[in-house]
Amino acid sequence: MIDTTPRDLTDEDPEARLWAARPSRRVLLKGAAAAALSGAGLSALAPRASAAVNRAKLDKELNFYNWSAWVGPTEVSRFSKKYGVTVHQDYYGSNDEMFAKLKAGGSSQYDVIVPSGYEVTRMMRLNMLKPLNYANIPNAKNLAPAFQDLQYDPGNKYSIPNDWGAVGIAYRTDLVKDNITSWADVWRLAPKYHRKIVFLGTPRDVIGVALLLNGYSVNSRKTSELMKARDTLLQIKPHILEITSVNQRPDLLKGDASIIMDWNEEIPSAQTDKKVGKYIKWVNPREGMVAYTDHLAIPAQAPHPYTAEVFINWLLDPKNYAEFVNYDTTAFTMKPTKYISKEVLTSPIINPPKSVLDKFQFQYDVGAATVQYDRVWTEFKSA
Amino acid sequence: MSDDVTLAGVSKRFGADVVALESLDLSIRKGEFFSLLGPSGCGKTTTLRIIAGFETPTAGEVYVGGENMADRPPNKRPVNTVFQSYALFQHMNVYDNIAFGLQQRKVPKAEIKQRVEAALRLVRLEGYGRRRPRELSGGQQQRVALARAVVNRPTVLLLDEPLGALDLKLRKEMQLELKSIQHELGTTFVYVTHDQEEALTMSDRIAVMNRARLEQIGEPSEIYERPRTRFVADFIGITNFFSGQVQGLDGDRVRFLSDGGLNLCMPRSGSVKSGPSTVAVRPEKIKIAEQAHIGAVNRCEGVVEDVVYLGSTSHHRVRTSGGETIIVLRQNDSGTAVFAPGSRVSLWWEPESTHLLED
Amino acid sequence: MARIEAQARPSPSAARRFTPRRLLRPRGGWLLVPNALWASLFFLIPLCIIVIYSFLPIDENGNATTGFTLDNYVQLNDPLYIHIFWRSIAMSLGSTVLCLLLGYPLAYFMAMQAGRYKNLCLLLVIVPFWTSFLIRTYGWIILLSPNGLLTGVLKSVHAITQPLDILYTPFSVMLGMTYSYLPLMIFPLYVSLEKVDRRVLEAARDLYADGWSAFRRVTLPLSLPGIVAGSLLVGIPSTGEFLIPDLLGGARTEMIGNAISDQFTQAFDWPFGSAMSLIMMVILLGAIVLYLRMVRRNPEAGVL
Repeated sequence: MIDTTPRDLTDEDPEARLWAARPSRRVLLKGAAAAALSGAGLSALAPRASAAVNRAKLDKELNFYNWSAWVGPTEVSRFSKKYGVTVHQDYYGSNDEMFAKLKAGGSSQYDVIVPSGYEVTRMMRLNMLKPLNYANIPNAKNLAPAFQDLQYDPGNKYSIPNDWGAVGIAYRTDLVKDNITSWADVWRLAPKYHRKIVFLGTPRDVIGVALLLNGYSVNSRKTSELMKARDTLLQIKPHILEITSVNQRPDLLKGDASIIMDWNEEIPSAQTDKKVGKYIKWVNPREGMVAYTDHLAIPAQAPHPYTAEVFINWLLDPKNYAEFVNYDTTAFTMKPTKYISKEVLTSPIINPPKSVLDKFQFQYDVGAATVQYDRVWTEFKSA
Repeated sequence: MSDDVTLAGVSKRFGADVVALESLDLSIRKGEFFSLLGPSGCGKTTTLRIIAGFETPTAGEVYVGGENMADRPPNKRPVNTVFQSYALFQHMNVYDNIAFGLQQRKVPKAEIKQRVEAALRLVRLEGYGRRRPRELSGGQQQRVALARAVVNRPTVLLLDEPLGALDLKLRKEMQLELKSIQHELGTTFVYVTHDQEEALTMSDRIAVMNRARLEQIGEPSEIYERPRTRFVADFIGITNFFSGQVQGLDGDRVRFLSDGGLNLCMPRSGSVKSGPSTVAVRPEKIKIAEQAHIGAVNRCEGVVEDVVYLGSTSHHRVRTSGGETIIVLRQNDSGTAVFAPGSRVSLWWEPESTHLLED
Repeated sequence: MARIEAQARPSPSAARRFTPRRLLRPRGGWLLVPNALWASLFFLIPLCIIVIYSFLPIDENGNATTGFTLDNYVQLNDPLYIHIFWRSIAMSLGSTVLCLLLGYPLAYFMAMQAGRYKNLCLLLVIVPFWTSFLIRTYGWIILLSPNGLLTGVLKSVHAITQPLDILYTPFSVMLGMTYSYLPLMIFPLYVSLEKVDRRVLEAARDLYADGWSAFRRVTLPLSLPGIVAGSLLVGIPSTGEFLIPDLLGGARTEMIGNAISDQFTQAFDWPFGSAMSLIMMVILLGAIVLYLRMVRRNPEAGVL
């Protein structure tokens, strides 16, 4: 089931891609129906899951700090009902917001948080996360191989990847007569589609694409490679209409732009547009894609750590996890199961083939080289 | 043509209700110091503005220097104005203020310098060229405004109550100065004021205005000595008014009986209408003594009610037996006794000092 | 003799009696205290923080750390950043001039000729301000978009055949900035024009000046304070503008405000961002001082 409601565009934050929209009633009902249908399957799983849960150790409350609407519609309430735990949900709009809140004393307020991979690394270094006790999270074994060895949190000691996203190309087949399969195609066709191309506003994503194009790592720290990436970007700059992390899809829908750089998870909703949705085509570029993940984690001073781990295990339960994936039509990190809807499973955007996953390059921190990236970005924007 | 400014049938209405001028006919002679005198709202400033070109008459014609000024904006008239508030250009120094008009008319620089300096000399502000208006006193600003206007050698100079903002002493000084400057330049001055003393002092002729109309034009002495209307008599100086009836004519003398029972006679001037009229007598023309001398014509008896001592003169307020109040002005020369309140006195005056008013 | 001496020397108590007590009493200076507190808290202290930050080095994680360095300033001495500074100044100057050219006639009309409609005009100028700045800017995007209103209108009157391509260009940035800052130019101009004494203008006409001369030699110089105030009110904030280049410029016309904002929100290089901010402040202060001095020296010369 693909969410058809429009996304909020009020925030310019680069992390806005991780906002999901308000659910439509159709989605809610379908989700509930799916839950009812798999009730039989649930009971097969349930005894095994709840047998491991020590109800005596469970707290009465749990504080869940999450992205807006980034959880299945009934997961949380069913958890509450089953275990008698009141779950307080609080929301943030960006990693920085969450980080700042925790730094300001929120660390002892929240039990479960959902930081991006980048953020996990940062928080780990600052000892802000609690190591996970996987005895309480048996469902973690469902993690797909592609996400088992990420460098954000080697060994997944403090966090579990929950969902992922990647940067690719979307274009209007009615406005673009050429076939685009790679970043190189975009650069080649740029003069032809002068000022019809929109790039993202996040420096690491855009520079990462330029590095990919030149065959380098998206986490390169070499000056020579960054300079080449810069030259590549300057080459296409005159043909770029806009640099934005918010307007790219509206531009594409309006036809102001014919080709855009975008994150994969928002495209399916764009494709449901009545007028031009059928013309929107997604490309997983041949050179590879800049990728990133969101993780489930527990703050170091969480007041209810055991309950938190039980909750995380609940979220990763295949049926619950599928409710989340279907509702938010997000790319998922767990192994695919029958609970995940057909649309999601067959979508090359959200569930691409292994060949595409193999060419993912996850975005890691680049330390002191950040200054160089910033410089390349400033040169690109001011050209 | 010896008339520099002529207004023919000029009237001015503002909107539908306000009548500022009602069919004014006026002729001002070349080189004269002409005053427009009247209370606020009488139309004197409007008249001035119409001559300057800041207002267009609703009807009638304006001629300056013999030319019809219809359709001519202010900047095309050979007329300059000295404004009541001086209206100096605050952002320019004194020199540039004065030079403004000359610069506008593209007078060569050397000549400008010459004329501006002459103007400064004329108003006794030599050396003040570099000063700014805000550094000057009121009197000095006044003189700059004057210099700024006269330097252009206009055919007619208009002055709109220019001395209003100055203190008494300075005002008196400036009155004399203006008069002497006008003599020196020989330019026609049209001067607007509400101060009758000022008008009497400076003018060659005065036009007294009231409520959008012209009451009387004439030389100062004529306006004073022979006022034609009650308004003029009242506005200028102090007057004693006697209401009553014309009784008849005796040759060239007019006989008049006041409501208080006084029998007065006066020389006849122009046509005389019968019915209720008013007679005016100036206080200084009335003689006062314990006993009137024999043969005194316009005489009456009364009791002194009040005496106001004014230094060189004294005002006596006398109540006649007929119930009328008469003000008598008397010189305090040495030797004469003062008539204390309560004393019985006799008053008498010449027929020639008695004026029958036209209204 | 002794008696005289005793009288000559004042007793200590007498001396105390003559202490000027009025110096101890605050004389209305206390009215400034709330403002001073506000300024210190929200301006001076943050300013000091920025100054300190601008001299801090960053560690290998990209975080500011203790120490002292001039590197942040040295880094700015680079063609890339100098180019961005110049562009910002040029755009701001352009908007100021446009605001002046558009705002002056309007302010003139309002002050001199609107008569009893004066207040209505003022209201009309201020009403757009009641709408959120962001919404108004987005309104411009809708207007200028190639598929937007302006294109539609021009196409229907056959003025153009191809869709307009003015959105996301330096031109649309200048347009957006001029539009948002126009009221800030109009109000000071209106105030200073309103104060011009009508009699002074009559005096100018009386002295043979036609309409244009009277305007040029009298009205314009007298409105100079308004021109100065308006230019500063427009020129200073627009130099640091970052929302309009981001939205209407498609974030492809980088101004100094964008560069600073990027430092703080994306690169997290606060020391460098602080150094950039301070340099911008110094440059703007210098420009203001020069401008005011030029105007004060030659008040009759006018502005343009």
